[in-house]
Amino acid sequence: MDTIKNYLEMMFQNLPNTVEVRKAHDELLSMMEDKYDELISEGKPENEAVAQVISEFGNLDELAESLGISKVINEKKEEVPRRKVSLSEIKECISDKTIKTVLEAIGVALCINCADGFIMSMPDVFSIANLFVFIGLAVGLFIFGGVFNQKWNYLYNEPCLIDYDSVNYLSDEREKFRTKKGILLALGVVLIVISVIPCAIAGSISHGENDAIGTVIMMIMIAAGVVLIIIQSGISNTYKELLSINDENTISGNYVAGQNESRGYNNKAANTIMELYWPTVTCLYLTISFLTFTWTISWIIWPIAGIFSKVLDIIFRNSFGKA
Amino acid sequence: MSEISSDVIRGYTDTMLLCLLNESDNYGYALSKEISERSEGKYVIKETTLYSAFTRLEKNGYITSYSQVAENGKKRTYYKISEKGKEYYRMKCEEWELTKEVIEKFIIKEEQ
Repeated sequence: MDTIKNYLEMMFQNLPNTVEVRKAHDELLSMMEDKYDELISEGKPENEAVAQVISEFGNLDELAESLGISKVINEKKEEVPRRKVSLSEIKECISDKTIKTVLEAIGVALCINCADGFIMSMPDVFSIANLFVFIGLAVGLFIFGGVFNQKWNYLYNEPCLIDYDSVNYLSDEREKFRTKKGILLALGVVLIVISVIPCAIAGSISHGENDAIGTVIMMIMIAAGVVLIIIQSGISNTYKELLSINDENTISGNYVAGQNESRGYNNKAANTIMELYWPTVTCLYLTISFLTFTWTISWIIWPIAGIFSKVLDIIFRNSFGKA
Repeated sequence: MSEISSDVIRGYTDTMLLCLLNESDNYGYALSKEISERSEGKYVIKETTLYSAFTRLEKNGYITSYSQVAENGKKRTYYKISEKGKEYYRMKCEEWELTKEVIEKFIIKEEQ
């Protein structure tokens, strides 16, 4: 039966992903399944049944008119050949992207903790070294991670194609990762939520003297939480991206139906604002903190900015719609 | 024995399907099987021919379709003939009688 399914997928793989095409695909598959089941129940060997079903399938050209795809079928020869990505390349890509995600997550954690020195004490050698070493390391990790990623840029820049084995492999792996994803995300959120506890404890024991230590522990816990959240979202995005290689204009897009949410809005200004949002917040945080030396409290900018970005997202989505 | 050329039969797949649907509502494979059986295996309709006939007939309002779950739990699309379809079927039957009459005049059976 898989042979029949694959045959049909092959026939449909260059067709546009429209309601009519999908309907035709499903109906043809259903008819072929019925025929196959009957042949098998009549006692035909499997390979003969498959051969008969396929030989009696007919020709897609006949459907051109009813599907509104005559243009596609006639132009098929002129189409850009899609680069085929093999299963082993897919596996390599997943491992490279996982490494990149982990490196980036660590980089972000270092950035979050780059000001710990200033929280602990007034600017001195230690706090300045803390700032520059952490940021330097983070930049190094980002660049190094980028190297791992670069190799796979062609997946997004060139038209590519993955076969059905790979699609099944990716769907399975993504399914398996779902539980891990849930655990990582939950742990990450819990860490961030309970990160205020050390502050509260430090505050209540020593009446303000150990505030700084509490805040530093909090920053470390937040960083750990962020690392877990970045890793889970990075890995699951890799699966999603690889699964959507086939799509946009081919029927294989079925596999990612509803997964292709785009990140932009139907409005240029809104997109620009969202792009500049986090860099602006970062500048604001560093400027305010350096000018006022209120490191113990200025971190409050982050949660506020987080909530505000969600609010902006909802406003933009409602007024312009997602692109 | 020669095979039926698909060009010739194309104009009459609609008639065959409407005839079967006039008897009862049915789904794709059952119709294809019925066509093979009634023609004693002399004409096997291809899946793509069948599907394009369905879409054409439905577009012209001769048939309607609905989903139904079959006994084995499989969801199938059933087709149903409309009043307009019945009318069209009668018309096609008359057209065939006429066609047959005309073509017959040109078919010279060789004397044995």
